[in-house]
Amino acid sequence: MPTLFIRTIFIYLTVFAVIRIMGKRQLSDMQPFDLVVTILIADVASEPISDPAVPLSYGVIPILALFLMHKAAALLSLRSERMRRVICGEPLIVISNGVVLEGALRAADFTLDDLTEQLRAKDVFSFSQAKYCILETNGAISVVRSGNAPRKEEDSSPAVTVVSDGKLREKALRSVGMSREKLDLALSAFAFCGIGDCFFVCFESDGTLHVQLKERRGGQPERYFIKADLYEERKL
Amino acid sequence: MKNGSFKRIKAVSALGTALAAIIIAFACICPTALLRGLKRETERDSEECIRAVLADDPARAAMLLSDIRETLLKYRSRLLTTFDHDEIEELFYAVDTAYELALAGDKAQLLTELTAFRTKLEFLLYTNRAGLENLL
Repeated sequence: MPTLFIRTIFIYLTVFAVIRIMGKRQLSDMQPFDLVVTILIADVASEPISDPAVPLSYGVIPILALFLMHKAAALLSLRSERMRRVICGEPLIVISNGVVLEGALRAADFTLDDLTEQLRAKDVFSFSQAKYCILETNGAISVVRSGNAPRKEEDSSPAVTVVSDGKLREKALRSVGMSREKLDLALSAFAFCGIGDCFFVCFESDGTLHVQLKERRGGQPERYFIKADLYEERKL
Repeated sequence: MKNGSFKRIKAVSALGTALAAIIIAFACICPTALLRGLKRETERDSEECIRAVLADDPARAAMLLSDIRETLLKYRSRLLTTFDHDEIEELFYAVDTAYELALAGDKAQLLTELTAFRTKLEFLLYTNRAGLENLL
């Protein structure tokens, strides 16, 4: 037992020293190579701690090797822009001028729900409230709010996505008190499309339907804001 | 933050990197050198031991095995800090068993254990070689 105790202290001190030298990035926003090192160090350090038959060098040498790799990756990304792109990737604009870029979302393996979730974490409760949204290389998003977006302390009740990627969400539709027929008619009358053509349809807090059609080759996706009084007036 | 602090951080980082590189370089050289040394020191004795067994001289074989064990003991602590303890204990086990078999005069089993010792040592050397077969 004393052996295990001393070995654990030794491994702990080694990992601590390595992470301390790597800098604070390890502890907050991680780049891909930071994350790789963090995951691997945790795994490599555990074996010599738990098995006294394994020499400490079996843990220490891989940790030091990872440290050197990390240093090399950090140095390369610091010195060369091209290498930085290779190692860290590039930021991706997923909402541009209020338009959710379907292709960019697909390229980043992001679903609309992922985007909604990330926007909510930034106090943005509707796609219409975001003018620009950039998916950073560390997986976090940066948002530029649109001029009419309410601030945090004001009314910012979340929009409900009733159609996502051409598929109707019946439960969400029921939760906003709308029928499928009413939605169909509103879309055909004001956006000249059916549910299958929509990338998303969001029911905003003021009753407005925010519609964005699926991307067509070469063209900007069409967007419509159908005010509640418009489709209510027509008794749809 | 003062300018001096940045310099200190940079110096600590550079020192850490250099230290890591030196330790890794040592770790790449030392195990193979250690095993080669052990092999060199035991090879002659083990070959002579085989000849003694074949010449029906178990007493000399036991004496040579005792020498091999002495050599192993000389390397023991360095081997245990460098390699998996189970692998090193297997080497000791093979030599100890061979010694007991020499005393008992069991020629066939003695040759088997002696070959096992030589093969295990060779295998340790092989697994520490930075060849493609070990890297992939």
